[in-house]
Amino acid sequence: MSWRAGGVHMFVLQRVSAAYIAGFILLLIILVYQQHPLDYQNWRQLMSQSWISIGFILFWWMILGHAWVGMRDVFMDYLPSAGLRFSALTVLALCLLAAAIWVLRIMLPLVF
Amino acid sequence: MNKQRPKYLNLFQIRLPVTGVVSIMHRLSGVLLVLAIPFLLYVLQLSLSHPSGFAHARYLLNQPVTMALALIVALSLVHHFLAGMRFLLFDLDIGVSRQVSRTSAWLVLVIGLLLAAFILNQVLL
Repeated sequence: MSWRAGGVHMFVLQRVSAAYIAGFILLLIILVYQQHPLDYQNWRQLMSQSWISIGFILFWWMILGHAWVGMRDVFMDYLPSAGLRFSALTVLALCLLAAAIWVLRIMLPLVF
Repeated sequence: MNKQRPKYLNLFQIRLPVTGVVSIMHRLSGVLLVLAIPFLLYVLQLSLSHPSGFAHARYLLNQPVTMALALIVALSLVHHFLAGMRFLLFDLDIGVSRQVSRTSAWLVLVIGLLLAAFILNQVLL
């Protein structure tokens, strides 16, 4: 896929991730509210349920994908040269990939 | 291209319609939320690591500076969420007329402020 053909894919990724993130936030609010008052035990127990922990990893990856599309739009709109845009996008991609691995590092001990 | 095209770069003389205000705030809140990601992941990791980590995360969030930052993140999230819903409805061809989109833009701002007041109230009590 070339850079120029990316628009439609980005559009779809942005919308699908937005819907997932919004739905999961509402779910999280309900789940955490049910655990009130929240302490370490029930917080960890909540996050250890397999469907929640896996859904939560996906939730963060969706956020990172959503961030990619949004920041890509911002960079394309405001950075004046191709070199700047390329550098900024490269740094952003590395940061988001690192964050994706960080999420796994946080959540995988709870999944298994 | 017409080289004499009008330039109008005095930002204070541009009267942005409310739909434009929501649009730029959606972008600004999005950038703020991206910048917040590492801090949120750090607090998440701390809170799930062990009981003392959870206590430390709670302590951190109760410091005035971090509480203020967390509040900014919360407000950004509320606004980004509401404005995002509005944009998703546009994709479904709902509310795209000028009048309805102006009304919904005002709604996003007002509901955002109400939710912000609610969150502030919850945090301070």
